[in-house]
Amino acid sequence: MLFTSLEFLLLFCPAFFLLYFILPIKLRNYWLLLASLFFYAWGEPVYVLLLIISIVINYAMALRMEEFPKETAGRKCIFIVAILLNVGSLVIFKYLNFVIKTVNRVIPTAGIPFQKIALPLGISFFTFQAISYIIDVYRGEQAQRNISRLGLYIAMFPRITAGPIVRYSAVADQITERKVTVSSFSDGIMRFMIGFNKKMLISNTVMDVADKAFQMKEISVLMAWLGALCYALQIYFDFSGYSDMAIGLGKMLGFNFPENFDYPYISKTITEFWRRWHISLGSWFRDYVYFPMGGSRVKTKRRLALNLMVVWLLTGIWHGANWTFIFWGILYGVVLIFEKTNGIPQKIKQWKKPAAIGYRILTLLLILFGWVLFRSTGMTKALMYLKSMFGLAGNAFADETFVFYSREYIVYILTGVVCSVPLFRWLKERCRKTELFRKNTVINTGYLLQLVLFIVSITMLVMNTHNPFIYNQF
Amino acid sequence: MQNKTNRNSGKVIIAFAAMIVILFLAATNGQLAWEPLEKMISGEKAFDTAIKEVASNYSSDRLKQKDDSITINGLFARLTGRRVYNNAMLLKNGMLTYGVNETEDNIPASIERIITLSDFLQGKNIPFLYVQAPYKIPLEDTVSVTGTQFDRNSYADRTVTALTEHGTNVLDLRQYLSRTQEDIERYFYRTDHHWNPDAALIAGQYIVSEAGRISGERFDTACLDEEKWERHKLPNWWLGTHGKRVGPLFAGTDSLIWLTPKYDTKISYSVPGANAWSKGSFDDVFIQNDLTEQKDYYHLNHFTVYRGSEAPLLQLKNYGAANDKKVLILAESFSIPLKAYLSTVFTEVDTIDPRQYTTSSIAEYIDWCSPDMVLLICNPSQINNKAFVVDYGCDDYTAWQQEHTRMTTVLEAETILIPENEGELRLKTICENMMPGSVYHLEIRDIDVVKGDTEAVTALLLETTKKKAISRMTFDVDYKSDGGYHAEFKIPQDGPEGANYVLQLYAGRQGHLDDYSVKYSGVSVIEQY
Repeated sequence: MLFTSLEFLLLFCPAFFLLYFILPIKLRNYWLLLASLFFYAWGEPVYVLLLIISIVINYAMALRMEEFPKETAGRKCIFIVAILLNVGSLVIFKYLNFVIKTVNRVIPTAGIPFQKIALPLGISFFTFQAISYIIDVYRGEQAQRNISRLGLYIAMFPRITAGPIVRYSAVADQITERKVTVSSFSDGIMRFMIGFNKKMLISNTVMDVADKAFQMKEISVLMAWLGALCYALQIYFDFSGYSDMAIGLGKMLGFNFPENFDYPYISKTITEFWRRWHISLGSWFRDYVYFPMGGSRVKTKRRLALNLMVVWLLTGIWHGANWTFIFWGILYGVVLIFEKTNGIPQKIKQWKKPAAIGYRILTLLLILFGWVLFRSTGMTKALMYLKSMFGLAGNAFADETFVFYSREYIVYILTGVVCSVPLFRWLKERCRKTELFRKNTVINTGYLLQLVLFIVSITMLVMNTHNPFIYNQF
Repeated sequence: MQNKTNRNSGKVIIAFAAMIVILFLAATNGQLAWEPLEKMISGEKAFDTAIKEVASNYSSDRLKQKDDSITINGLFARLTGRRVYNNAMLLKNGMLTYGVNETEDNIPASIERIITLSDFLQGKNIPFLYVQAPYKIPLEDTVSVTGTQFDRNSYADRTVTALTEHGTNVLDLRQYLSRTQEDIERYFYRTDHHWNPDAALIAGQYIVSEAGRISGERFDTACLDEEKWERHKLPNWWLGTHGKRVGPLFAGTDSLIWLTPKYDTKISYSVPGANAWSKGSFDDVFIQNDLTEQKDYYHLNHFTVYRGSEAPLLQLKNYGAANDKKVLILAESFSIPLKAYLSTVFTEVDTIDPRQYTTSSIAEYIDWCSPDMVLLICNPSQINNKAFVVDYGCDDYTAWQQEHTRMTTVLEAETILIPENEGELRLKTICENMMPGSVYHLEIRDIDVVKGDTEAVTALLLETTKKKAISRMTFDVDYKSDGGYHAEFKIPQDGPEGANYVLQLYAGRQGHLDDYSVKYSGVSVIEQY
């Protein structure tokens, strides 16, 4: 089930929340778990079993691991098995056919047949959640003895399909004890609405431009840039919109999930970008791959580069079974190695304005090129698209398609650009002392606008019934 | 402190307003979810089937707020500067047209089929006229939005050129009705792809004039003069095909226009496939009064204010025609007002919608009905659409005729009275065990209504094992064509196993039998095999 679906809004949410708040507090978690499994089963009636098996296995493995003291072979052995089982399921369901395709290409005589395996929704997310739990228990955190609580951590419907990925310790207390107030519930609804509007009004609309650009056989320079820009907006508002909805739903249940985005397109460096984009994934790789390898506290730059490249290779692989994702990850790995080994994030603060601005523009361009790789269905198409952006594919500079799409979607593109920067936060700071602000006129007008846009978004949903999220495919 | 309270209360009120919106939508559409889920709970439906049905129900027209959603969406799209939305496109002059283009080129196949038809008709000495209907983008294009020029006029250009070079008679109405922007604003609906009745009347004048030229006869076009027609108009009455996709606030609405003759008319109207029949004045027969009385932007198609829209086969007979000519029109929805106007000129007008007619091939029907002229009317917005690239069946029928040369009389009766005795069924089976693949020619010399006042009678080809009507002919009792009544019934070659086909005559129109008694004289049925 998707958040942006009528089944979710008109059937699941009313039924779930009504019963949730009617039930006694001690039964609410069971209802939440049951509803979460139903939520998952709605989209994956078969793979819900995989989810349940994942919960049971990780529950059992963690408890078994805990029976062994730290630093013992037994504990390590169970830890490795648990990790292999989790990673193994991810490899089978997500990467097997990619591996087969690659082997067949390298060894044409291999002729390994493709397997008919569908990708379970959100497998990368809930598997990483499970791995995070296993590692934390291995490191000494107490295992959860109540399987329903662990199940809730892994399968909770606000987060199961696309995160944010949170550590068990971050939500453990909230699972057992949390409070919902009128204020927090309202905050949750408002946050959900904002995310919903981002997805429906901006992401889904600029997607038309991106889709058109990426399917054109011959594309003008300006149209290529427009398509890349629109994809950058599409993916940001799609994923951050989803995260807003997840966080909002969490608040409505009394959970405080961590932020997943912090205006990534205002980043001055690529290092900063990855502290603002999909924060929970970056944190996961930092805590469970980068730091255990030594992080940046290593003796040589070569070792630092290796650590970063491993992290970014894995990040690329995590995103999908395609060489474009792997090269996308490698691209970031290379840039981050450059920045880290040259101390760019620290030095940029001392740079003169033109240089700092120049590097910021370069950062944005690199992000844009990265999205071209990310969006393309293959490396050949990605390279062709990039060439088109610079007029190196024998293409025209501008054409009527560009004129049409830029004119047709200008309002949405400009809105997307404006909403990509913390303009409202900036305005809020500046207006804090004004009369209008003190009387909340501006803020309440903003909330009212969100409500109006929410109603428009729902009508859009009625018109365009299928609205998958980009990150659901991971 | 006061600020925090105010902020909280403002946010709380708005948040709960959002919740009320959701609950309202959920409550008013609860049935859409409950129906499939109830079946799932009772075991009637599997889980995955039930959830698919829930999703399908929510996306269907059953959603109570669907119409409002279209309206709001259209307004929002317009306010944000959109010109292309939900497959509709706003032209520079504020009119709507299609927002998508076909990706396949079906024109060569279309031209080939039309040429085959043209040659077939030439072989039978039946004059044929290809009529290129006008299009909403004018030939002198000043209305297309940059970057959206679609090829539909060029499709029509290619078709007209190819047919002209072949020697087929062509009438390109675009030259008269969609040359300039002023033309399309005058002759087309704002929110629909069709021409309006004013355009169809003028088209009728050109068609009749051209028909006269190619047949070597003069047909009186006076009955199509505009001053002989009364123009009715209901402003802001309906939304066309494109308008229904974007609502009334995207590009406005259309006025409903219809024309009725000021002179007396008597016309009979029959859609054999639907067992629909009526006789009366032009107004009685053609004008759907419920559409002139009801306004519903989303659920009524007011373009069909003239009855007979998209019937597979429609047969019109004009009691007051100044000539005895029979015209067969092959056309889709663009023929809707046109065929009504032409029925005031010619004594018989049959119209076939090639997409939907399946009783026989079109070539077969041409042979059976022996028209004095055939018109094929194509509009540029459909000409490249695969569904409109129709096989007229010319080659197959020619081959069939060469193989099926034998004729046997299977029935000859001077009189058939239905019912023979009171209390009997008001229908009679006159032919049984009809052979698959054969064609049966029914000829009747006279039909007399002995009891009652039925104006029409039915001849029905029935498959008895499944009790399925295969084809039907409705005879206007007062109207003889070529000195009698005749119909052809083709027995399907690939019917169900053990199928049994019978031909029945009725004492009246099927389903409207009352207490009638009818005498058929000079009845014969000839099998062609």
